[in-house]
Amino acid sequence: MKTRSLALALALAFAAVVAGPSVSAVRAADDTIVFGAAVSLTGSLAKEGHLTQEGYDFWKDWINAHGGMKVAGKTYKVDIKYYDDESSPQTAARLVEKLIDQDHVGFILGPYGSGTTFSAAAVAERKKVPMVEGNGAAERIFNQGYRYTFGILSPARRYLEGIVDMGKAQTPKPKTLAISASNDLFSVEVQQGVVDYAKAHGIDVVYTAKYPENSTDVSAVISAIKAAHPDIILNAGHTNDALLVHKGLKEQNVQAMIYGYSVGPDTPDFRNALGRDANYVFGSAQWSDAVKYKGEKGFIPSAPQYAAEFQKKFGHKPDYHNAESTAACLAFQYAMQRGGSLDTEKVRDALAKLDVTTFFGILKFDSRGLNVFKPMVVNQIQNGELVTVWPAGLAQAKVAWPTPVWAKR
Amino acid sequence: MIGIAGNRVAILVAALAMLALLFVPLAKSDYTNALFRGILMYGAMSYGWNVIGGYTGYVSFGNVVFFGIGAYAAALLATHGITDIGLSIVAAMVAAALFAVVLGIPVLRLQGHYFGIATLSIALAAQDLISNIDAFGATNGLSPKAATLFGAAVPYVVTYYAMWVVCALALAGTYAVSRSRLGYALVAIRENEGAAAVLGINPTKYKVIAWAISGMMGGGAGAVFVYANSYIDPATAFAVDNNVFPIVMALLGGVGTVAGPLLGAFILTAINETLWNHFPFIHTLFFGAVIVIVVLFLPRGLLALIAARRSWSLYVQHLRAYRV
Repeated sequence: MKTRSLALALALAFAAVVAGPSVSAVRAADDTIVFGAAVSLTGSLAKEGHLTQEGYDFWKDWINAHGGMKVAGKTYKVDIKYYDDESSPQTAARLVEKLIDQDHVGFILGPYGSGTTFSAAAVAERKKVPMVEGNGAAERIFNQGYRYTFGILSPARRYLEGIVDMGKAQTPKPKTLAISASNDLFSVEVQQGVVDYAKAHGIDVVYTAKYPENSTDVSAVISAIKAAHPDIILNAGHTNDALLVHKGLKEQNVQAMIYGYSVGPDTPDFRNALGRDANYVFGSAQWSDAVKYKGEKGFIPSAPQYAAEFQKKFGHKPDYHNAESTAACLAFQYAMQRGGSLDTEKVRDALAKLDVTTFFGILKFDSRGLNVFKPMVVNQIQNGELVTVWPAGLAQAKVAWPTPVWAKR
Repeated sequence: MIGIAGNRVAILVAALAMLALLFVPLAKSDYTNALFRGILMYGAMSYGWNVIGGYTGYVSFGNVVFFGIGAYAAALLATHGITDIGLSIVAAMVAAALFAVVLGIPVLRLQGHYFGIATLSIALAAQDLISNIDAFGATNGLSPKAATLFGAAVPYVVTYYAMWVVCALALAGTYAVSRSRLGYALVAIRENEGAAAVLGINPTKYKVIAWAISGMMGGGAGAVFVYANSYIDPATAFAVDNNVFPIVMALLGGVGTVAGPLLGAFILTAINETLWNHFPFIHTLFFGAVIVIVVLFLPRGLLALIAARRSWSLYVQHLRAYRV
């Protein structure tokens, strides 16, 4: 008797596992190109994961609303199959495996975050399925010799270079720099990159430190920064880090010429949480809705137009996470159209050769699959509004300079 | 009763299930392999937890540390050119066991909640420590190349068989423990440590041995995981999931039994997989509810429930015994 019930339990478990959902893996056969994406809908990266999904969905709906996508004379609808990677690299890898194996998806859109992207890239490589990602900027992903992963972002090392360049163009010139970083894959690369860059450009790096990822108290770091009296205070981290550091700097009344963050000032949360203290803060961004690129035919050509349509659809302005996700889809779109094929191998080759300007900027990959051709932009918060101030050719407004004392911002 | 191994029929079924799992790769689907490799991985880790948490009664909240150490041992070997998967498993087991012994001698003198808290902090500290050591790749992680066996490159499916071996060793090891003097000593410590000492059992010695065995099981799983995932970073190696799942699996299947952890790994993985297939946005909510139900209504696991079938009073007794 006991054997029977146990066997029954095991059989049920098996059935539950194996049956799964009845997803019809629609492919080119019935005129729909299906993309697969494992994004973080829950977990520590859920906020950014949702922005990623919005960016993907915006592209999908736009293409379908405009009659679909033409590849080699035939018109296709597009669809995206999503799973939740729970912000865990381990889960992301398994889901990409599932997308390719079970759902027979031939094209992968990347997850959010460098860690999840890294493990997804390993699977894409093993399965020889092209993946375009717009949300994992760590250069290490691209130093593995992978052939099937393409990143449309400017790499992490270059994130804060723009702020240094911008600072050097001001008078009085800042001479010293301090940078703290969250101890994660992305932020550490950002830090290394700007330290090297500053040294090469005659700026004295007076303080560097890493603190544990997801810290809730960085006051010791702030005290050390204050003691070093830097002209430029930078932080490499994510939105929470930027908030934590900036509040800490105010509490301890640390005065500098430049306060710059790798991620944060771009999000409305940052401005809402800090109010007037957010003014004069610099943030680097992959994109802003003020950049003046002229996109080629096939999608919304300009950033302001993208922003307006996006706002209409989702009820909020797009930040760069949205835009870079949409741009990842665009890389696939142009590669498929230019390569004239939906064969995964041919799409990969077309991606490797891609050279196209979009509302997001240039999409072009070096031999590692990394987009080193697009510059970062620098935004500044002026009177509660985010405006693009650098590089000069793409700027909306002049840099507000110099930064006054805390009470007068 | 049937001794401390648990229901003999259940053990037989577990052994047969292990044999059946050998044939999973015949489906020729990497995803199916990955799914069942997950069951084997969590099975091995759950066996590891079961030795210390189930048999010895020392509830550890930090067993993921062995998984992490095993993973890093294998990844470090790989960065030095040693990618033999068999050797990696052995090295990982040795590293995890050594760590367990060194740490166990002080920590296993703690009892009850104090032990639980200490193990939890060990797991957190290990993650932070590795995040700051450049030789371990710090937070960048390490990414070993493909595995080899006896000097030859092997196909990816070998990671499945390697995980099978680790889980089979964990099952067999648990069975051996449950049949040995060691097993009875551990149960004696669980039931009454003072009385066990009076009987001539050296509690610290036996607890350290149990923890070392526990560590070997988790460490072996970590070594194979590195090759299955091609990438390891501290956040993955010491993930909360990898800490909690093995415990819940042992609870669900049956704590302190030979068949329980594998049964638990099977069912919990099946539930998890089905939930996120059907409810991609709120699956974690459902999954949390499942865990709560297990703890509330199945305090002694499914095996005990099956044994108590026909006898509601026995089931109610179990419930009463564990109600706070």
